[in-house]
Amino acid sequence: MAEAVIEAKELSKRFGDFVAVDRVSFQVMAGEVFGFLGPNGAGKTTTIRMLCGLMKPSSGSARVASHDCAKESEKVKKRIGYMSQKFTLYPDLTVRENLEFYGSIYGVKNLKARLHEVIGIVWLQGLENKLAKDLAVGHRQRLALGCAIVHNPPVLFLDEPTSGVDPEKRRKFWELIYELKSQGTTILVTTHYMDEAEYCERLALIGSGRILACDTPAAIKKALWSVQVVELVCEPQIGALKVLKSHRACLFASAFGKAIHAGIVGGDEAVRSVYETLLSNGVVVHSTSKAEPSLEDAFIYLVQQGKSS
Amino acid sequence: MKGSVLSIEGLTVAFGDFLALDGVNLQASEGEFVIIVGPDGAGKSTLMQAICGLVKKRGGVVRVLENEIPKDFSKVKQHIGLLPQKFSLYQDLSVEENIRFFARAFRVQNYEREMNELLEATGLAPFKKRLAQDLSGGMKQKLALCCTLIHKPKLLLLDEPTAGVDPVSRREFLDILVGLLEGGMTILMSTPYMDEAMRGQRTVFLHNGKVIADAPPQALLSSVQAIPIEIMSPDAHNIYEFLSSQKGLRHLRLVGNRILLWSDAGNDALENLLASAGFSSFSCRQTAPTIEDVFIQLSKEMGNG
Repeated sequence: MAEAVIEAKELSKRFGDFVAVDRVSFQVMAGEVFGFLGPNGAGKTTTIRMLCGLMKPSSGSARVASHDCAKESEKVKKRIGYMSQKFTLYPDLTVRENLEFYGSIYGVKNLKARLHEVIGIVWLQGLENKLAKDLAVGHRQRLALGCAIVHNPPVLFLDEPTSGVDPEKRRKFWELIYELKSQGTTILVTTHYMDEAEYCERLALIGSGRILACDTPAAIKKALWSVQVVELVCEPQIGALKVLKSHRACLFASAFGKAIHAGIVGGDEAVRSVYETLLSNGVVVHSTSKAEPSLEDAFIYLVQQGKSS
Repeated sequence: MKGSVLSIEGLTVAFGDFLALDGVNLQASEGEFVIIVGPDGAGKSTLMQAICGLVKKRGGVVRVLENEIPKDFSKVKQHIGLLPQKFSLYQDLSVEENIRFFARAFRVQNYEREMNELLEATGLAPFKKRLAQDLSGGMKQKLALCCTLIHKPKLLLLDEPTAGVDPVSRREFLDILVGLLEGGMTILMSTPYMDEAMRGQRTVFLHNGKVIADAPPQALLSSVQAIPIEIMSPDAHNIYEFLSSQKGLRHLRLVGNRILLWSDAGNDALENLLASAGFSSFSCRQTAPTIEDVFIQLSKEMGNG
């Protein structure tokens, strides 16, 4: 059985009256790629900061690589790599100099050999002498990753590493993440891209500082098993949305182009009842078909469950 | 045939040597919802700004309601509403006061009814006395939308309105647009999120300042000329190594114990291939192409072409 490399117990952070992180508990096993999925302001970055020993929790505790994040933050810092949303690179230094700088801060031994190795891992061969400011976004992103792993940390925190990067480069970046995993690195990634979250082995869904669900992406979507996602083409669309949103059996309804995706509980009977309610309210229904639930549907569903409980 | 609200032909905008927009063509007619999808730096904001005459163009023609921009911008500015990425609200004014301010700036007469309708539609009615600074992020954005709509524009430009907005607020925001579209408004919305491409009636992919696709999202999905397949196996690493040497497979990616790829042949062919190579514990399943797949296919074609 793999051991927990990251473990949060009832971890909380309050800023005045505002609870940024609210009794969050989870474990990340050795060699796992674990995702933190949630919108801006959900508490993702605050949680990571506490795990990295950069911020003290208001209550609760966390351990990373066998050390307490608050009490032994210096030991934790040596065993982790952290890549923030805004990569901190020195624009006027070259690729190699940036890596060298971070390597020397961490006191990396045999730095020269390690630099060569890291440049290979993040696929920056041939660009060693280019200034960071002259790199394309995708390369800059990989250099930032290189800087975060130059001291060969067993645990890696990536805070929205792929924001604004084009999809192809994003996929490449994920290949890199899995290469690091295959070498035994434990990785915690935050993202607010629903589709990106599917790349993680396990996910914690975060909303308003709380964990709404924590499981594999497939299992989280299964939480929706009792919900049928139906695609409806209606006229008028806005009228249909109003009717759907006030219908008891309808958990969510939202426009997708000319169609509406509605999540309906209660099986075919409920779907029929929704359909009849639409008609009796003067809505013309042009077509209905089944749609695949998305991770976003699951997210919305869980947020609403959380509100009603 | 519905009237042309926006017509862009060969629009090129350059900053020094950098071509932010490179020969862009784009049309939008009354009541249409066009979504501009592209990564950061693709030229989305520049396009929005060019439509408002805010950036100097190097070439091409931009027309809004048959009026040329920037020459005749003053004739149509009453009909354009722009919600920029960083919108400004008066933090120490209330919700209602902010809307009134924008109404007066656009010299709108008798806007009480319009204002109340907007407050109702956005769910801000109960908060109309609240100061803007005390609103949540999602509510601030809805208020900014109200301010952009109070002069009843015919063309609404939304520059990444959903970036960083939580999924619940994002859906609410998009649903508000439905009512506007049914009222005949034309909406152009930009987004970095691929999945949002599915929200519009037409999707325009912008990549390095060029339009690489312009079609209804369903048509884009059916343009993927490959079958996306997902393989699950505890032996994924070895399967991946094996498949890397095979022909007819593209976009091979190893993600944990999953392998994602595009195949020219179907699921069965792949299962047979793996079985004949001696692999036993695996499952293959055909998946539906995503809009991200389309983008990648098109940007590759552009790169090669």
